[in-house]
Parts: sequence; C-alpha cells; structure tokens
Amino acid sequence: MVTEHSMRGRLAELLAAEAAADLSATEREELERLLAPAPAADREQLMRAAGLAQVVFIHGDARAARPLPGALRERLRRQGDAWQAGRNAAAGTTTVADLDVARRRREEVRPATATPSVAAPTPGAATPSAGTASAIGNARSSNPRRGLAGLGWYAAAAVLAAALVLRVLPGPVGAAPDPADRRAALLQAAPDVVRIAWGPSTEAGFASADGDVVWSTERQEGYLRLAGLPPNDPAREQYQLWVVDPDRDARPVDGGVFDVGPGGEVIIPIDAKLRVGRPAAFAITLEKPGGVVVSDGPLLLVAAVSG
Amino acid sequence: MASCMMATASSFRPPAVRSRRRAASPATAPYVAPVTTQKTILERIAAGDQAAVQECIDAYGDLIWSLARRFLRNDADAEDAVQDIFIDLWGSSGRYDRSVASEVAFVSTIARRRLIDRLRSFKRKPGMDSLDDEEASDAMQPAVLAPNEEEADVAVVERVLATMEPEHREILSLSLYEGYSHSEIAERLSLPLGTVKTRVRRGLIYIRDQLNITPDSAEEAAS
Repeated sequence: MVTEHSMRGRLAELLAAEAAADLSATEREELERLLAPAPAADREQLMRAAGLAQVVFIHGDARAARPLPGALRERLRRQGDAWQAGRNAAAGTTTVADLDVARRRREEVRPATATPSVAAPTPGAATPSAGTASAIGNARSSNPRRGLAGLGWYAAAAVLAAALVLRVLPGPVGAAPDPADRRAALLQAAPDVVRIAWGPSTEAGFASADGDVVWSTERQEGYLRLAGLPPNDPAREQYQLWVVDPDRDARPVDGGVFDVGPGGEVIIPIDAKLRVGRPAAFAITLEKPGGVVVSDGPLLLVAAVSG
Repeated sequence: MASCMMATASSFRPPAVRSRRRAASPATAPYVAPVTTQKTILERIAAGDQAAVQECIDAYGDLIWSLARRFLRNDADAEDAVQDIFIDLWGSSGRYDRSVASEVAFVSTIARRRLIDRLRSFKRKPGMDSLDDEEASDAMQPAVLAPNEEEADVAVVERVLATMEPEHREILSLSLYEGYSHSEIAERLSLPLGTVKTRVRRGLIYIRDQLNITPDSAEEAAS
C-alpha cells in the first residue's frame, strides 16, 4: 500500500535525483506524475540545495575558482545592454540612454575599418530585422554552437530595440550606406571577392528563388542577393544562413538570421559569427525565430563555391 | 594572499545586500532573510535599474564562470552556459524573493538548472576534457572564495557539508560540483551504484531539510 508518507519520500528522492542531474527517463516520467499535485516549491528547494552546495564547494576549491575572461565579460556587457534595451523597448520606455549605449557598444565592437554589419532597411524588400539580426549578433556568442534560441524573448525585444535604433539614431549609423551600395563597392574593390549563384532548389516554393552570394574572405564581408523567396513571418520562423567552411570543423558557421518581406529583390549582409577561412558553400534554412545552433531543416537554397 | 582573497570576495558580493544581521548561530543555522531596505542587484534589475545589469555581471561573473567551468569541464561549453545563465538570471530577476533565499542561492539555482541542461544536451563525459587546473595567480584571484556573512543559507550548507562523513561529502562534490554521473562516481570510488545514488539523494534532502528549518523551529529544537 502506498502511503502519503512513502509517496512524499519517493518524490523527494526523485527531486534530489533531478537536482543531482541523475534522473533516468523512467524516473523523469514518474517525477512528473508525482509532481502534478505537489507544490513547485519542493522542486525549487532541492535545486537550491544543490546550487548552494556547488557554491560551498567552489568556495573551498581555490584551484577551480577563476575570474571571468575579459572577452566573455565584455560580451556579457553587450548582452546586458541589449537585454536592457530590449526590455525597455518592449515596455515602450526606450530611452535616449538606451540608444546611446547601443550605438557606443556597436562602435566599440566594430573597428573603424570593419564591415558595417547593420543593414539599412530596403524599402519594400527586407524587413528591418534583416539588419537587426546583425545587431543582435554583436550580443551573441562567438561559439558556433550557440544560437539565438537561448536568448528567448529578450532577443525578440532586442530586435525591436535595434529596429528603433536604426530609425532614430542620427549620424554614422543612420547614414550607413545601403547594403546594395556596399555590395557593389565590395565587388569593385575586394581583390579576392567571389560571386556564386544560388543553385536550383527542389524545395516547394523555392524553385523560382534566384540571386547570388558575394563574399570576400580577406574582408570577412559578404552579401546575399535574393529574389523570389517566400516572405516569412518573423514571429513564427526566420531564414538562417550557414557557411560551410572545411577549415573550421564539421559544423557550418552561423551566418545570421534574416527576414524577407513581400516585394522584390533583397540584399542581406552576411553576419558570420566566426571567421570564415575557406567557404565551400552557403546555404539557407528556415528556422524558429532567432535561429538554431544546429539545423536539421532542409537546405532551401545552396550556393556552392566551385573549385 | 588572504587579504587579496578578502578584497575580491568582497567585490563579489552584491553591495546592496549588506545588512546589519549576522548569520544564525551554528547550533540553529536556518536561512533568515536579510533585514534591509536596500534593494539587491536582482531587485534593482527587476525594477529597471540600468546599472544593475552590469553590476550583476561584476558581482556574479567569476562565480558563475568558475562553477560552469568546473561542472562542464570545457571552456567553450562553459562560455555558452554562462551567457545562458545571465540571460536567464536577468529575465528571472522579478521572481527573486529575499524572504525565501539569499541572492547567491537564487543565482546558483538558476546556474545549476542551466548547467544540467547543457550537460544533458552535450552528454559530456567528465574527465574526457582537459582543463587547465593550475591555481589562479594572486593577480587574477577570482571573487568566489569566501561566503558573505549575509548569506546565511550558504553558511547552513557549509556547516552541513563540513559535518558530513568525508566519503559522503566527496560523493556529493563529484556529483553536484564536478558533474560526474553516478555510475562514474561508483566506478571511481568502487562503490555500488545504488549506494552512490542513495547517498547523493539523501545528502541533498538533508541539506534541503536543514535549509528549511525556520528560526522558530530551530529555537524550539534547541530548547
């Protein structure tokens, strides 16, 4: 006979196993079943006990205690700014300070000679978030395994904030050349620039997609030219670019997410999160908003570099 | 060295939680919420204080980074985890309730959840990755090395662990802190798997129970 006492004991045991990261699939199912009528506080308390134990162990382990690396600290600061700006934007309280911070951070991140990574919206073509993917990219990890998914609602809010920045900020950011002009300049000036046409797609809805990829490894700058892509609903899904680089590792480099609105041709700046050494192909998938770390979706368009 | 540790430990602490209360006596040792009208960093983040988000990184960055590195044993994973943890932390700041736990307890709970998520997703094999475990030099001594007197819940857990059998404590350390699976611990310590599981689970439940002792119940128990 199962008494309430024994059930509580079993629940505590399973919660402890969860907090100790040692829950089997069967136990997880059992836990969820037992948890239904149980207060959430039980779960929180055991996780807190485990968390505090970790803190005590690190207090006593001088060999393991390390300062946060400077580059990661700076990345977190940028994320913090973006998170704050996103929250304010979501609350309708975006301030001049937010905009200043966003602009300052971007200028800090981007060397004077670097590629402008924020696209001015192309009227009637790409939506503003095509450019803001890059703005958010500044707040993202440089690790290839990290996607926007982990940023949650903050990312969406930051997109909104960045869009506001694009519209409101005067000066160099607002006056950034159109992506089409930058693409043309790259084609003209970069000695190593390559131009690769998108291959034919067999995916439904993408057969008539057209355009090309322009890329300069030396400048780490590139643009997608796309026509005939079905418009996406950014609230449900976003296009994501991947750069296959055999010099890196098995995983393609995240090239950023972008949106396509109704209308004609769009030019999307490539926002590679890692240095691309030897691009072998560029591919586009359709992912959840913010993109993914590893895509298992079909390749909608591929531009393969010959040779 | 000691003075350096004290200085950095002090900088690790959220300044806003400094209060007049001292941790409870070792005999009772329940968690008691700090009596202060000053807002903690998380409360300030929840209130929209712009500076608090950055202060949060300064206050908890070293701690979270050290925990992530130790638990995941891989710097790249740890970097990702730290970013996940901070984003979660800022977004969850509105849920922080100082009457329930200290701020560092809230932070470490969120960190733990995210670390477990990451461990599960990457199926890391502890011991397979190499970490440079050289002791940090004095010049870069991280601010994670001493508990704050206002963090009574940390003190409770410290006392519980200090009074535990060394073998039980080691099992908890390997499981909770270093991220080893129970089967790996069993193999390493030549113990039956069931024994490891039981000790970890009961150890955690015991810590939880000690944290849940209210001041009133502790006084009753002591009288």
